[in-house]
Order: sequence, then structure tokens, then C-alpha cells
Amino acid sequence: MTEGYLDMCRQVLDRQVIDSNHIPCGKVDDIEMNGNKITAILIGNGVASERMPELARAVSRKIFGDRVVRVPWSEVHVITHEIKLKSRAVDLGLDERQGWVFELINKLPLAWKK
Amino acid sequence: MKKILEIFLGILTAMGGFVEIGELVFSLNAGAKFRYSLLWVVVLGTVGIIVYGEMCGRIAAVTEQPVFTLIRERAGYTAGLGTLIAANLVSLLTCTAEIGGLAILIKLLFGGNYFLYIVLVLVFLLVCVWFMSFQVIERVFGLLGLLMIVFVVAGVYLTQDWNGVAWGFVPSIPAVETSSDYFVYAYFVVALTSSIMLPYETYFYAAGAIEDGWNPSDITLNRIIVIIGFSLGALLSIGLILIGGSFLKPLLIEPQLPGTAALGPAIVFGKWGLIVGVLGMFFAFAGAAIENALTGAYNFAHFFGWSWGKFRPPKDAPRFNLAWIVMLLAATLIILTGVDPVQVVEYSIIFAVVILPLTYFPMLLVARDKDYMGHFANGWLADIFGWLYFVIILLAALAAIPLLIITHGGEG
Amino acid sequence: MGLGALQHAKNHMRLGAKKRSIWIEAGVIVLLIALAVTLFVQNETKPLKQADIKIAAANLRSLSSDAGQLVQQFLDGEVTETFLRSQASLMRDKAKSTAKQMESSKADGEMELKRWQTGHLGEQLETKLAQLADGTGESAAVRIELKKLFGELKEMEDSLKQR
Repeated sequence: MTEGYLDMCRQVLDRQVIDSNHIPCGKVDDIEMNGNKITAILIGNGVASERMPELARAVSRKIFGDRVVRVPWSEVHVITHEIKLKSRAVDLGLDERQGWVFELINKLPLAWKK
Repeated sequence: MKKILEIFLGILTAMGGFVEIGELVFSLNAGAKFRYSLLWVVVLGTVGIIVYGEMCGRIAAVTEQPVFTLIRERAGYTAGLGTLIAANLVSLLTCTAEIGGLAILIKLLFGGNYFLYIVLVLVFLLVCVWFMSFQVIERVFGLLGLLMIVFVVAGVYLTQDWNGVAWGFVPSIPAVETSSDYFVYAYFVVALTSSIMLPYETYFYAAGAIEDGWNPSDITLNRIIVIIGFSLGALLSIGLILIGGSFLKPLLIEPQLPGTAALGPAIVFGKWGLIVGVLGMFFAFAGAAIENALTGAYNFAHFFGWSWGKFRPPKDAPRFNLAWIVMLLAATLIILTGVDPVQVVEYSIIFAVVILPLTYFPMLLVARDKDYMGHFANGWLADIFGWLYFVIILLAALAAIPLLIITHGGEG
Repeated sequence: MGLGALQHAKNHMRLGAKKRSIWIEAGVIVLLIALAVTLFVQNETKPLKQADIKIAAANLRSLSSDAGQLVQQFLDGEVTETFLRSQASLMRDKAKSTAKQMESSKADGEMELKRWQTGHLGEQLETKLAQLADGTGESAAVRIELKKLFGELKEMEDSLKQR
């Protein structure tokens, strides 16, 4: 990863995160810091909902849960217009191919076909 | 040769998405109420959608990112979420109206139960979107939507006063019977502009650019497609105004049902004109329903960072696919309550014009931003027109609700 | 410690204050909805004004002409029978709801008569359209009656226009 100036708000926050196979893993919903160093990026409704007014946050958490996935900053491989990670999505718990949504869609005919 | 095919198909798509049930009813009524004096509004709206469509397409080709990804980056989470909810609400209501319109059209051809046809339409749309690839959907519905040309031909055939038509392209205050009609005229200016510049057209167009794998070398392709495609789409709208002005106005008919539109081609071409007209409307409405359902899914996926795209097998983009399925299901549930689809789309068009500035402003900002676009950022022409139209839609957004109230929902 | 909730103050809010804020926001939304509902209900239950009756008459006038043209084109062989029946059925629903709207409210003063008359014309139109939808009326005869209704509705509409 290149050293130098990194604008956290413009280049990291709200950017698309992708894994080593270019599979989308969500957006950077929040950034964990220690002093003025970034230690991790946080993905999930648990932290995204923090950025909304109180009522919206409560409703959002009730409906969509408060899951948060913590991705250590050491996982970040390259930053272009996206944040590319070193590992695979499934290893980080960020793969969409799990859970009830996946089960439902996968059951439909020809779900494997392009 | 391949490029020519690509251009042709892109034009088809832009044309096809132009007319949907709201635009159809507003255009017919524009002609039926004010004869040809709203024709200039079609030109106004078309130039607007060309300007913003071009920006959207260019953004997608250069950044290779879709609209809502950039909206979230630029505007942040809460503002972006607000835009997302507003835009998707409009798309949901539009989709609802199209499904209702489709059920009406089937009933017109075959008789039978409207509510049963709603369910049939849902199944038809689900099957189409699930099993057809993006390119096939674009092409099939675009091509079959071309049947709408029968309305243009009928409109031309039924028109005699071409001098009046020509003057219709010059913005002017029409001669009216009562002073309240001035407000109705203004309402139609706002509503017709909105129905032509509906946000889903730009969002879908940009998502399509990425589905088709566009890159910066496709910038010229983008320009050709938006200019020719949307202009040809505008011809359909003009044809409808001609039918309204030349055929319906003398009879004092102000249509509230899509079936009335088919009387135009019917009087010119007989039964076949009627059937082709109804089929043309069917594929135009179906295309619009599909585009709005997919746009809703694209918007969610692009905002939340989900895996997305028809280019992926459904199992690799489960949330995206569930999203468009839910859009269609929700739209069906709403229309099953028995609401009038024409009423639904009229309100959704007014709501759309109110949020139009919200949906277009981030696009303008990104298109001019050299950090994102490099040397492909807006030149002086795109900038002037971009800002000009932003002011126009801002004024329209401010005027919409007052006009809606003063004119008792646009009826006088 | 998180960077953003970009509203930094919220980070320091205590749980009690957060809960209170949720209730305040919820309260505001409920209030707005209640206001909207009240305005809506008030609008619906108000007595009909001249403009409302004029709009109803205009809708019925348009429908009667539309139906008349529809029948004419059917008689000329330009429209299928199925189309005629289905379109008439949809039009009938519209006429019915407009007529009902006229009947369900009262109007002020001299508008009362106009309201009743418009509602009555609406019912007549509905009957004719039902005949077309069921195929029980003889098309040419219905055409003539629709033309008559059109004339009456146009008159009604014109009498209600403000100069």
C-alpha cells in the first residue's frame, strides 16, 4: 500500500470495498481510529445507522439488524476508486452468498446461469 | 459495422424508455386541452433529458461507476439515503401504474377480469427479467415498443393545421377560456417536463452503460445515442400531442384511460391500427415497468455496495435480484388495491418533479468534477446547459405543489 | 472510537438523552401525519364548491364524448367488440365514482341544484355505459343517447365556468 497523504473522508469513507476476487463487499460505513491512525474499516448497518437521526437509527436497526464487520486496516491491499482487500469475502464474513436471501434466490430455477 | 449495431440498439433503448403510461396520458391531454401550444414543452424536456442523460452516460463510461455510488460518495450517507428513498418511491409508483396499465390493455384486447390480469402481468414481468439478459430485455422491449410509431403516423395523418403545429413549438401563452386555465397550462408545462425527465431514465441508462461494459472510448457513442434516441422518443410524444390536438380536442375528449389513445390509430388504420396501438403501448409500459423495477434494485445495490448486475448469475448477486423482485411484488400489491393507475402515475410524476433537483444535482456536480472525470469533465456547453436546466427544474419543483392545489389536481 | 456519526455531539450523548430524542422525533412525525390526515379529512368533508362540480361535469362530459366516439368507431368497424365492451366497462366505473362523489356531499346554496343535476346526469351516463359493457343496448341507439347526454353535460359545465 502506498504511503503518503490519504484523505479519509474523500477517499475511504463511503467507498466500495471489494475482495481479492473483485467481489463487492459493501461500503466503508465507518472508520475505526486510534489517535490519528486508521486501525480498521467498519462495514454494516450497526455503524451505518449511527450516521442517521435517532429515530431513523432505531427503526433501521430494528429492521436491518446491527451487524458490524470489522476489517483490520492491514487487510487493505490497494486503494483506487475502490478499497481492494487482500483476502476473500467469504473469509472476512462479507460474502453475500450466505444467509436467507442467498438461500431464497439460489432455490429459484437457473439461478446459477448468467 | 458492430458499432453501428450498437448505436442502433442503444437508440432503441433510449426511444423505448421515453413513453410510459404517465407520459402518454399527459401528452394526449396536453393536446386535448391546449391543442398544439404545449409542443415546445416536449422540446424543452427532451433537451433536458439529453443533457442529463449525456452527463450520466459520460460519468458511467469514465468512472465506470454507477450514479448512486457517486451520490453516496459526494453527498454522504444520510443525504444519499434520502435521495435513494425518494427516487425509489417514484420508481415504485411508476412501476405500479405501468402494471395497472398493462392489465387494462390485456382486458381491452381479450375481455375478462382486470385483477386476474394484474397477477398475470406480474408473472410475465418476473419471468422476463429473471430469464432474459440485460441486452435481450433492452432489445426486445425496445424493438417491440417501436410499434408505438403507429401513433406518430396517425397523429400526422389526422393533422391539417400545420401552421398551428409550427407555432406550437414557440413558447407562448395560449388563448384560454377562463383565467384558471392559465394555471392548468402552467401545471401541464411542469408535469409534461417532469414526465419526460423522470430520473429513472438517467439512472437506468447509466447502469445499462456499465452492464454493457462502457469505458471512456464510448463517450462519442454515448452522445450519439442520447441525442438521436431521446429525440426519436420525443417524436412519439409529439405524435400523441397531435392526436390529442387534432382528433380529441374537437370532440372535447380529455382521456383518463389509456384505451382512448388507441382510437387515434383505429380511425386511421381500422382494427389493425387499434391492435398495433394497444400492442405498442403494452411493450412501452412493460419496458417501463421493468426499467423501474431494475432501477430500484440498481439504486439500492449501488448505494449499499451490494454485488449487482444482470451480467452476474443471480446467485452471485442475491440482494440485488431480491430487490427487483420485491419492487415488482410491492407494485403489484399496491395496484391490487384497486387504485386507478392513471391517478397513481399523475401523483408520482408531480412527486418526481419536486425531488428532481435532489436527484439531478449530484449528477451535475460529479460531471463537472475533475477529480472524478479528469479531462472528460463538463466542457462549457455541458456546463451551461447543465446549470440552465438545473434552474429550470428547481423552478418547476417549487411551482409543482402550488399548481397542483390551485388547479384541483390539474383538472381546472 | 468511531469517526463518524459525523455529528460529533451524538458521540457524547448519554443513553437517556438518546432515548428522549427518539421519542421527540417520533412525536414530530406522528404530529405531521396527524396534521396531514386532518387536512385531508377536512377537505373531503367540505361542502362541494362550484369548481368541484364543474370538474365533475367536465369529467362526465369528456367521458360521454369518449364513449360516443368509441361506439361510432365500433359501428364503423374500426374497433373490436371486446375492446368496446372492456373500455365501456372501465368508463362506467369512472362515471359511477364521479356520480357517487356528487351524491355523497352537499353543496352551498344555489350549487345544490347543480350538484344534484350533475349527479343525475352521471347516473344516466353510467347506465348507458353499462348497456355498452353488457351488450344489452343497441349500439346505434346508445350512440344517440350519449350525444344527448354530452350536450347536457357541456351545458352544465359551461354554466359553472367562472369568467
